[in-house]
Amino acid sequence: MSILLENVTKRLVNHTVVDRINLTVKDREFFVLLGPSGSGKSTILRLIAGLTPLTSGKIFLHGHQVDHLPPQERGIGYVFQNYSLFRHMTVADNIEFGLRIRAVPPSERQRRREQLLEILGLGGYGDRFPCQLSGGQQQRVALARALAYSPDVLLLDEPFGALDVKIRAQLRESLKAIHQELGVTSILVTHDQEEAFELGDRIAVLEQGKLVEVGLPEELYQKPKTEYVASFLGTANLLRLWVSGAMVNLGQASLPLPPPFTSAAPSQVDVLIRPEDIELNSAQEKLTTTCLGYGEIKKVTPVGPGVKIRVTLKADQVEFRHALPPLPNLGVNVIYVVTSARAYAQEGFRPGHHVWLGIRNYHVLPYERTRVLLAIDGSAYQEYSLELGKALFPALQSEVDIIGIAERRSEQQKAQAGLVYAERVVSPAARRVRTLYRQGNAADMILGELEKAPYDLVMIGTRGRRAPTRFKVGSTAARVLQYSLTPILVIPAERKEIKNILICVTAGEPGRIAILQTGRMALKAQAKVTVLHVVSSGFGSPAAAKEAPVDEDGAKAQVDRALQLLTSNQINAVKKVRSGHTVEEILAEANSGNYDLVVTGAYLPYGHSSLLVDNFTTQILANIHVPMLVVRYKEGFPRSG
Amino acid sequence: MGKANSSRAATINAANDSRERAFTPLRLRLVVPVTLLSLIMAPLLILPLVAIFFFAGRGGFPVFWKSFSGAESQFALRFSLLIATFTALINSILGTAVAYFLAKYRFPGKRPLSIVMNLPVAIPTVVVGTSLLLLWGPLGLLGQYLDPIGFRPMFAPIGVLMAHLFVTFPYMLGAVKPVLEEFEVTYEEAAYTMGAGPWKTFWYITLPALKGGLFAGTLLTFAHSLGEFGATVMVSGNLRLRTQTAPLYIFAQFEAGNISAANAVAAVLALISFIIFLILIRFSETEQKRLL
Repeated sequence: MSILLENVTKRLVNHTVVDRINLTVKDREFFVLLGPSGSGKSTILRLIAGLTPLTSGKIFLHGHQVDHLPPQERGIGYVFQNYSLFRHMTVADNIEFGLRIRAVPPSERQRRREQLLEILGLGGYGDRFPCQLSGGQQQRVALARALAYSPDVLLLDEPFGALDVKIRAQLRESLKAIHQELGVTSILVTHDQEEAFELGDRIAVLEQGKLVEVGLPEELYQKPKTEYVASFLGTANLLRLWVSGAMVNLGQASLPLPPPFTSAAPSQVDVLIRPEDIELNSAQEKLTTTCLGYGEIKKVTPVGPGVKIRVTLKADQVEFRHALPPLPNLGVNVIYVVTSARAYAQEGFRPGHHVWLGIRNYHVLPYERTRVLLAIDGSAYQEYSLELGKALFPALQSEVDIIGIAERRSEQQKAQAGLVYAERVVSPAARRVRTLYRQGNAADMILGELEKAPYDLVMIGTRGRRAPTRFKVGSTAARVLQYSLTPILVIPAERKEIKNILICVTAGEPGRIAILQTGRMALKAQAKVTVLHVVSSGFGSPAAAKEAPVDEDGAKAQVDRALQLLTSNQINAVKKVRSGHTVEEILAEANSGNYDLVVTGAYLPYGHSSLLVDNFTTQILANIHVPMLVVRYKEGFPRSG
Repeated sequence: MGKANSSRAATINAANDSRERAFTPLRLRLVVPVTLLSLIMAPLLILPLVAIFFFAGRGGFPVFWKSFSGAESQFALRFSLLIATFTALINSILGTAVAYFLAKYRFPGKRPLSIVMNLPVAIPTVVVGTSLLLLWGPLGLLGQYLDPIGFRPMFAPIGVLMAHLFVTFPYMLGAVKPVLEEFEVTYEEAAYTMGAGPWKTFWYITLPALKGGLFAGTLLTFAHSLGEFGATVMVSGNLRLRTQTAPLYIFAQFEAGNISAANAVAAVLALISFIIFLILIRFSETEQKRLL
């Protein structure tokens, strides 16, 4: 192995630019670091070169640890995005510079220079000054200059970034040819996918200073392991689907889960279908592949040799809509299809036509990350949320969007300062942090965000001004629960870690998924789970108890199933039974001081247009002194096999 | 036919153009301000210069040569040139070092420091001279302790040099610092990655890039040092054949009524300054061309 990075980290004052990168680049390999701007890819290159000091970690080049060495002693060639040719030197002097420093005799220098000029197609340009060359020529000189002294490793920092498309393509060709001829181990940094795919033997995808995935180009494109890579590379139709049995329900189709997934796999998965893997046909019978459903062609865009077609799936396919919450950037029920221009012309499709869609190929991704919306307002509750967040986010692999809410203009500064502070606190624990500032009623602002993007969890650390003192936290949460199905975490007290979790399965029983999700969290946090079952004497009043008689046996069976589910996943879980008034008993147990998190379910009446929260949940919310996670559930949702 | 037509049209247009240009109202309007400007500028800038050479040459060459070759005037001119040379050399090193430091590193108090560095431009030179006397003079803050040891920089050539370094320092800094600030760090980094250590990088990469600024700064410093009066008169004690610079000599001779002696040296000084100025103009023009 030529280049080896071990836990390479670069931290600035309050920001981690490169976060524990582990990487091995093989001998003679052309390795590409691909990522959006700000992902830390250039910093990694500078760390390898020694141009930026390392915070922690180790760097090995050809088996020698080099992280303590200055750049001069690392034996690298480095090509900068802005070429950085020495303007006062001729092309020849530029190329010979590294050799002159190494005291190579002039005849040898000249031989090497002529050879490189020849390889790079710059013959006869030796006497010119950099300012007399075009951008493409300058970058060729920069490349020759970095290769002149035969470095062990060639590092290229977005070398073609400043050039136009055509020259870029030419230079890619030359670079590839040179790499094949000289076989120097190379790392190229780029944000250009095309460049990465054309040049890279292997590609590493970076996000926010973290290494997301490393692999062969085709592997990353066809079988990514993460949602990020799936959506970052090319166009992706990413569908979030429920698993039942060993099948994924995909619109009208049920597709088998591929090998790494079993029926015990996560209950939710992301399915990736590339636009070119979708078949379009005017009639369902004519489809040669598994039918997905039908929709309307909305837009057709020519892309190179093919056409990209935007299809909106029909809204009356209710199953579809429920099963496929699309990614925000695709909009609701939109699927992209890429087909050859000729096939498109033959079929005679036009925008407005109705078409059937078939799936040629699909790839299943584990759905593991959680997208968290953390609402704060600069009050004391914000502190609680941040503390708990620090403990939760690593276990949940969270991508956190922090929303700072000021209810009045006068509180704007406080809220914004709170945002800055919160970002700093949460950043080390989360996979990604974004901040948003909003002004208005807390619940409305939270609901607004929930409509825009699918979140897996909302954390509420705001006070809610309109509420009476006693219901401070609960009122915002209750209102959000009224209109959204997203699980809500309310934090009325300080908890720095999650060691003890209480799951209440009676009355408002959380569903299988909530238990599993909580369980996974418990597993990662190494927490103990207590499943509480209250043998109920009523919901609030004796009258209510009569109206809703409790199915004792069913409830007990539910507790046992939950327990079994948890223990089968190696989670330390115990059962606890209390009898009495449901709300009072739950509150008594929850507030006993033993728990760090209470999980309850909030029943969602099936078929009702509003998402009314039952009195039970509201009462608990108003009186709880422990962080509480409320999961909404619905009869028969999800449909389990 | 179309071609012929259009070319004829072009000719007519051109003719019209030139006729129009000759009588353009804009031109007429310019005549007045240009004349006024010349009338004001001439007695202020141009005529005084003419006067120097006029008076210097009035007695004919023998008179000029006699005044010029006298021991005192020779000393004054040589002393001035010597001081100017040393000032320029020392300040080019000092100024580059300080400019490098200010441009490359961030440290607390950097802004106040760079203001202080430029302060000598704003302070009257006589005040600079006075302050140097108050520090280094026999009764000065430091001088009172140094005087017994025998270190007496004031009223000696070294004092003149100190005053000149002080006064001209900002010119050097002003010429070099902007160049260094624009000089991208990646050039140095590129040299590092190619194996060049900090010194080699400075010598082969940074210094050549600074060449222009350094050249201009050195010439400016030299010219300023050559003409320095206010601080020199305070610090030197105006001792004949010991610390008397050319400007001081001119002033002394003028006061004593030896107009021709004063004029001879003044003319030479003016000539040297003129040459330096021409070189600077020429240089900045080629520099601009090179950048384009």
